[in-house]
Amino acid sequence: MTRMEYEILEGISRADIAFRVRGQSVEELFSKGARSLLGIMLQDIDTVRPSIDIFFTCESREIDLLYFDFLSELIYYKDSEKLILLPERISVTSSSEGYRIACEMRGDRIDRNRHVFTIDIKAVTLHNLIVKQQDEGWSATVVIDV
Amino acid sequence: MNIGSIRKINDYLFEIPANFKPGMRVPARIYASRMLIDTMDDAVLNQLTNVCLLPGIIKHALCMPDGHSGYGFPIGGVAAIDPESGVISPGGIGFDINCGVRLMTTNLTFEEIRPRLKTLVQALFNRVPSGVGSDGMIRVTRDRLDEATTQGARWAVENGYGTGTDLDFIEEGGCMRDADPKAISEKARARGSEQIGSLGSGNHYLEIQVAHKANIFDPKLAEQFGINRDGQIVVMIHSGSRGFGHQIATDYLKRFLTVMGPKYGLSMPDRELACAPFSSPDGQDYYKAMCCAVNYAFLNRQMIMHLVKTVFSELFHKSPEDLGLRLVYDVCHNTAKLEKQVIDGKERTILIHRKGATRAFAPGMQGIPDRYRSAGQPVLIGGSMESGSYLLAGIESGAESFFSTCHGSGRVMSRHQAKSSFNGRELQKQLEDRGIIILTSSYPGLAEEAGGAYKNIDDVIEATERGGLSRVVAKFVPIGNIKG
Repeated sequence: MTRMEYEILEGISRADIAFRVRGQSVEELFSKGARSLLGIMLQDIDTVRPSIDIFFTCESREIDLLYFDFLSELIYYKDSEKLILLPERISVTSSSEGYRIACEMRGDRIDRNRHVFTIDIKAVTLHNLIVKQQDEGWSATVVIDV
Repeated sequence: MNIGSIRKINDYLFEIPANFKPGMRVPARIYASRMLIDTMDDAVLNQLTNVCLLPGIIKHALCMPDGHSGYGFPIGGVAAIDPESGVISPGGIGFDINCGVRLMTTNLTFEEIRPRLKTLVQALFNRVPSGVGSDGMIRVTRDRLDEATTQGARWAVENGYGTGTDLDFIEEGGCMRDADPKAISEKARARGSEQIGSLGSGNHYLEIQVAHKANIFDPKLAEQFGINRDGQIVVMIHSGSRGFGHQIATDYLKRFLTVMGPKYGLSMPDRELACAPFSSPDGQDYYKAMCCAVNYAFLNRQMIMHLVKTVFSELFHKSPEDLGLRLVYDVCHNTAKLEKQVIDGKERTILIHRKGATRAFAPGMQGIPDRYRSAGQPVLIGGSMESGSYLLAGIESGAESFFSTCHGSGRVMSRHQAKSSFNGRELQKQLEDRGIIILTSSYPGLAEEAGGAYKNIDDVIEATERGGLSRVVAKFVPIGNIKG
């Protein structure tokens, strides 16, 4: 993983973990968010082999809630199918109805011999969740329950 | 914490007035010594006063002595809500619904166990599923999961994990009767079906502890709870509702956020405090689903304890009965429950949210097992893996805190700070030198749980007792720990 794709933020939640990612485009922001989840959970993200493909979509009226749904979906796959997934292709579109993400994720089934976990992520919270477009691109602040 | 706006009521109780923030319906109160308040982060103040905005909140929002910042409510946050006019909020319960602790006695002593301690810890580590990606003890179908989460710990007992008498020693008898799996999503089922009977990770653990005579502070109550010999070995299990509860909280957080404004005209400054009127269909659906998760956690801890009994039995070649393996009690940390309590001289039903807080019923109250009725409800406080844990009992003055008390040490360092300050493998070695055997599937995770990342549990317990929340019965020191 490119080092420090995310930045840990202190002072928001002592019990849990707050992080910030930045992206040139909204797609990069979502992609980095997914990589950050695995980067926080795993000691070495490079141990994730690209062996299984998953496609899914999420829709939401707000971009930050789309981010919440997208990251929550990845946590769902981690527990329900034991899949740890990295982004392969992501497309985010908007309409009068809101936002939609279509993504192709590629990853690996958890193998405790290969994957060393630092921590489990239980959920994405809505606490201080911020997704915004700035002059230089996009940024997202997320608090996860661990 | 910046305490400029805080009024001291006594040495262990502080109040933040209702004019601290626009919209506060009641004041907020923090049970803590001045020293503990100094260790609390500023976000606690903001999060606790946000709780005071919840419709239907009664008297005051509370923070327990182990409080620290979380999301929505602070950890250690308590709010009593009027169920007829008020709301229910998943952020006041947490994602790990019914994360909780149970304590089991043995009739073994430290001297008897010491030669086989490493073997015992290794056997427990090998047998009790823990860590990310571990399979639970069993895998169940959708229908069986629905049956299990309706029945709670009784389901575990009926399927061979424990005995019927265990149920008497679990909060709510191990089953929330309002559980209704119709309120559960398929996603929650998918996350829950393979994790039944697993410890999890993070701050969840299974710990072997010793009750030294010098740490028995109330011998009569200790005896009543089953702590009756010097050097007695006890086992503490800390786990929750796993991905099942996490998904239920996620599902309803999003749903409440969607409906709270348009449907109920509610707004909160932190979306993690999304809520719905308790009496509304949305509020009732969440409550029923949450009850399923509470039940999942009860049966999860029941199954883990049964496996622990099996491991002890095999290693010491004696039956669980001959080893004196008996459940003392099982408490919940993250719940909302309907309780009848006397408020300002009148009995009323309250919807009590406890997030990182423990129920602590006083002697004589309904809901305490007969065996402990005169003693008060046992309260189990899990400390860090280095410092020790406590057994307390509920007392009459707990009425002021809606019979709620602390749940653990409370963090003074974030996980990131802890990971930068401690090394998991070195910590394991240092603790072994001190006679504490720790096995883990995650060394970085171990560093995050270092004793130095937590408040001094003795200070927390002192504030808990002096603040009138509970009575101290005994302290247990760790000698073996399985960390998820």
